[in-house]
Amino acid sequence: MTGAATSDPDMSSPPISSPPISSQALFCRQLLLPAAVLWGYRASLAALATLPLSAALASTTAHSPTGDRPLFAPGGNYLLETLRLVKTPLMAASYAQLWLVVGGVVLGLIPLGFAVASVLDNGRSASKRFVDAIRHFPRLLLLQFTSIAAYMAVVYVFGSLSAKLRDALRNTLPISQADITTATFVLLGALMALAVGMTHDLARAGVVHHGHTAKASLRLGIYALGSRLVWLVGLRLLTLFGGALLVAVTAALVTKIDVHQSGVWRVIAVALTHQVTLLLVAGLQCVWLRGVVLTAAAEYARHHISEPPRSVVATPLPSS
Amino acid sequence: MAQQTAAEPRRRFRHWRFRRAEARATLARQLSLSLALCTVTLSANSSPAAGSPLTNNDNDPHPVSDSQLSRPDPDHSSKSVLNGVNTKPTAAAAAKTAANYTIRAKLDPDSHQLKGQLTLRFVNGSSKDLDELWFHLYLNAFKNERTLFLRPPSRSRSGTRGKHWGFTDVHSLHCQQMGPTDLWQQAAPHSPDDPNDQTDIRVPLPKKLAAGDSMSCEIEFLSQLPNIVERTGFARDFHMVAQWFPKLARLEDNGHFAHFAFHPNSEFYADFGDYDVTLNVPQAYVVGATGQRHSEQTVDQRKRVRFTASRVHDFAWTAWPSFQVRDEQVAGIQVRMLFPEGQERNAARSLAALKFTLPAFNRDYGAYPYPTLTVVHPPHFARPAGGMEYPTLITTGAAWYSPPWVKGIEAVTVHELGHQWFYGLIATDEHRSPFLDEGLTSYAESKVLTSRYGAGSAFGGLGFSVSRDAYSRAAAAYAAHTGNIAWSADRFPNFRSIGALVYARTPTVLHTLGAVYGREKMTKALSAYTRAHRFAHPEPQQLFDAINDALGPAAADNAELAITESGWVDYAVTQVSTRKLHAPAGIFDKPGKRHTVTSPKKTTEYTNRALIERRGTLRFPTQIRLRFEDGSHVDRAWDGQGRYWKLAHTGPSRLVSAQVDPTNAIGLDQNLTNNARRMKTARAPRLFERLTYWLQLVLSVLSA
Ligand SMILES: [Zn+2]
Repeated sequence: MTGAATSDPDMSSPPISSPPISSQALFCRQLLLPAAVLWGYRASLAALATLPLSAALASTTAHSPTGDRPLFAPGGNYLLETLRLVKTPLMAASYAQLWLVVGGVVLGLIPLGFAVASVLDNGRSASKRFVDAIRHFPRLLLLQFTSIAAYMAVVYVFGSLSAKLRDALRNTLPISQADITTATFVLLGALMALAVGMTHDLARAGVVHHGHTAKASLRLGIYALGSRLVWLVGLRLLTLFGGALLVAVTAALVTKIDVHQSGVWRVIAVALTHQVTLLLVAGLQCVWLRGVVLTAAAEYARHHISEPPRSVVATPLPSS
Repeated sequence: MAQQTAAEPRRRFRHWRFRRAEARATLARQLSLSLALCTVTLSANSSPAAGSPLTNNDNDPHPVSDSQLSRPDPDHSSKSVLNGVNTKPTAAAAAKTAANYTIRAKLDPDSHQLKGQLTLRFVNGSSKDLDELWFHLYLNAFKNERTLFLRPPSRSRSGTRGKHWGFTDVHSLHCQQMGPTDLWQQAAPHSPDDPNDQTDIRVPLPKKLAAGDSMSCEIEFLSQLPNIVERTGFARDFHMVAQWFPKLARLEDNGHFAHFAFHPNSEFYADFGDYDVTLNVPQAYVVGATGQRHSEQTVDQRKRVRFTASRVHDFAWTAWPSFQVRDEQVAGIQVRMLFPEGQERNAARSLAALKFTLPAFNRDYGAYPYPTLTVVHPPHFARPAGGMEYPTLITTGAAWYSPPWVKGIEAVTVHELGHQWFYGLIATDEHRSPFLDEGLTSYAESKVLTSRYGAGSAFGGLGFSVSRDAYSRAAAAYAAHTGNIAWSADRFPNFRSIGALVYARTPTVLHTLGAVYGREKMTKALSAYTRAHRFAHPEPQQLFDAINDALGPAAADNAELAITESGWVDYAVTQVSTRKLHAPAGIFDKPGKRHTVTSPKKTTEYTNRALIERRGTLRFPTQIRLRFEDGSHVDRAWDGQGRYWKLAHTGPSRLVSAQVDPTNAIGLDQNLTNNARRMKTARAPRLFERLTYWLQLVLSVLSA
C-alpha cells in the first residue's frame, strides 16, 4: 500500500508539490516511518506502564512449575485466584501507572504531530519534522482539550437523549425493536463523535502543515469536513474497521497459538503477531492522516486562507 | 504448633448426635404414622390422599385422576452410577400430604388485588396434639418500611420498594372442627416479638387437634400485590403472583410449626399438599401456574382457569396479556415457555438448556415426577421477577441481545430447574438451612454447565474462558473466614455473604469432595440423598450421612467441618532443596579397625527435599509432584493428616520444583499460588507480553 493510493480522485492536481521520488522511498518515508514512530512510542510507553503491573501479577507465578502459563489456562481458575490475591497491590500499581499513561498520551501528541508532518512531506529531514512537532505541541494540546470537550458534549447529549428515547420506545414497542431503534440513534451519536475526531485530525493537519492557530485550524477542519464528507467518512471507516478486523483476526490467531501450552516459540510467535498487528494499525492510522492532510491542503487552496502552508513554502525542495 | 489428631473431627459429631437420634426417631414416627393413617400418597402410583381436594371435593365438576397428577419415577431401576445405592424412597421420603389447598381467587388488574377464598384441609401429622396454627402472610413484608423485610437497612435481594405497598388481609378463618367461631379474631396482631411485622401470625385453637386428626378450614382473604419486590408483585399489567395466600407454616414431626417472620435473606418452607386453584382473570390475560391446567371457562370478558398440582408445597402463578407461548415436550415433560415478544431467542436457549439438563437431573437426582413445567421469562420492566423457583414453575431472565458466549440464560434456567429437586422435591427448610437448597442447586447447576460447556461454562468466547467452578472457587476462597455455610438465612449480614458462602462455597466443598474421594461416589451420595428424601424435609445431617455412606467417614468429617464450622485448608510448599548425594563423612568403626572419611566419595545421585505444610482445619489426602532437571517427575501421595510433611527423594536428577495438589483437586485450597516452589523463580513473559499488547491497543484507540 502506498500513500498515493489514498489520494482523493477528485483532487486531480495535488495542492502540495511533491518532488520526484520512488514509490518505495515514498512508502518508507511517508508511511512506514511515521507508523513505526507511532508504534514505537506506544510500545515503549506500554512496556514502561505495564512493568509494575506484570511484576505484581508475576509474583504469584514465580514459583509455579510452569511459570505464568496457568494464567492463560482455559477456565481462568489461576487467573481469578491471582486477581483475587493481588487485587490491592494491583489496584495501587494501576493507579500510579494511570498518571504515567495520561502523561504519555499527552506527550504522544509529539510523535503524532511528527506522523501528521511525515505522511505528506516534501523532503524535510526527520529531525526537523520532529522539532516542528515539538514546536506545535501547545496548539496540538489545545486542540486535544477542545476535542475532548466536544466528545463529552456528544456523549452527554446522545447519552441522555438515548436513555429517554429507549424508555419511551420500550413502553410502546417490543423490547428488541425499541432497543434497535435506540441503537440507531446511538449510532448517530457515534457518527457525531466520529465527526469530532475527523475535524480534530483535519485541524491537526492545519496546525502542522499550514502553521495555523488552533482556532483557524478548527475552522479549516470544519470546512474541509463539510466539503469532503463522504470521502472522509469512507476513508475513516475503512481504516477504523480495517484496524478492528486486524485485531479480531489476531485474537483468533493468538488463541490458536495458545501460550498456555509449553514452548517458548509460542510466546515469541504471539509477541510478533501482536506487534505486527499494532504496526499495521499504526500504518492504517497514517493512511488516514495522509488523506486528512491532502484534504486540508485542498481546502486551504479552495478558501485561500491567508496563512501559507508552511510545509510547501518554508521548506526548501530537496535536490534531486 | 500442636498437631491435630485424627480423632479430633470425630468430636464434632457430638454436635449432631442429638440431631441424628432425633432424625432416627422421626423416621420411626413417620413410618408408624404412615402406616396408621394409611397415607396413600406414598408412591407415585398410589391412589390419591384421603381428604385430598382433588378427589373429595364434592363441588369439583372435573375430578382429576391421580395418573394425571403424577408420573412414576422410571429411573428407580436406573443402573448408571448408582450400583449399590438404594434408589427407592424410604418411608420418610414418601409424600405425607399434610396441607391441601383449594383456592378461588379473582384478580383485579387495575388495583392489582386478589380476592380469595381458600379451603385448607390439614392433617396433624405430628406426634403431638395441636393448640395453635401458624400462618405466613408473606405479602405483609411489603406493607410498610417498618417490616422485618423492608426496615432499614433493607437487604432485600431484588426489586425496589415503596411505590405500591403490598399486604394480605385475612377477613375470616373458620374451621369445621373448631365450631362456628371466626378464629382469626383471636389471631396475634403481629409476628412474635415484632410489633412492626405481620408475616408470621399465630392463631390459637379453641380446642386441641389430636395427633393424626385432620381439620378443614375456610379462609377469606384479600391480597394486594406490591410493585415487584423479591420476585413477587406487579409491574404495569404483568403479574407475578407468589406467596400470595395465607399459608400454613410447616408442621414439624415434633409438633412445632417451623414459622418465621419473612426476612430479606430468607426463602420459604412448607408442607407438601395437593393444590386446586381456580384463577379468575381478564379474558386477554395469558396465565401460567404451578401444576396442570385443568380447565378454562370464559364468562363476561373474564376467564376462569383451574390448575391442579399434587404433592407440591407452594403455588405460584403469572398473568400477563402479552405473553408469547411455546409448548414443547422435553424428556416426557410438557414444558410451557411464556415470554415477551422479542425474547424468542432466549426462550429457545432456555428450552435447549432444559433439554440437556432434565435428563441429567433425572439420572442423578431421581426422575422429575410432575407432568408439567412452566418457564416464565418476565418482561424487561419486571426483571426482578426473574430467577426464582416455585414448584413446577420457574422464572428466568436475560437481555434479549445476550450473546451466545455469555451463558447467563442457560445458567439461570439450569439453576432454577435444579431447585425442582433441591427445594421442590427435597423440601428442606430454606430459612434455617439455605445451603441445602441454594448450595446443592448451585452444585447441580455447575456440574451440568461444566459437563456441557467445559472451561467456558460461565463465559466462553473471544479466545477467553471462565468456568463456573473457577468463579465459585474464587468467591468461596474470598469468603472462607467470613462466616458459616450452614448459618440460617437471617444470620448472614447481607445477600453478598450468602452468595459467597451458600451459592459459591457449598459447590466448592462438594466439588472438592468429589475430586478427592471420587466423583462417581459423590454422584452416588447425592443420588442416595435425593432419592431417600424425595417428598420429605431432610436436615443437614441426612446429607452428611449420605456422604458418609458413599465417600467414607473422612469425607463426611471434612464436609461437616467445612459446612458447619467454617472449615478451611491451605496447602503450601514452603521449602525446596537439592544437593548432590555423597557418602557420609566422619569416623566409622568397623570390626577390628577405625576408618576416618574426610573427603567422601560423591555419587551421581541427588537428595531432593521439600517441606509441605497444611494450614487450616480440613485434611484432604493429596499428591506432591516433584519435577527434575531431566524433565522427569515423580508423584508422592500424602494423607494430609499432619501439619507438615518433610519429603525427601533421592534420584539421578536435580529438583526443579515441588508442587502440592498438581491436579487442582482441592478447590477448597485457600491459596493456589503457594502450592508450588521452584529452585529458581520463573519469569512471566506471557503476562508481560499480553498486558503490554492490551495497553498498546488502548493507546492506539486513544490517539486514533
Ligand atoms: Zn437458587
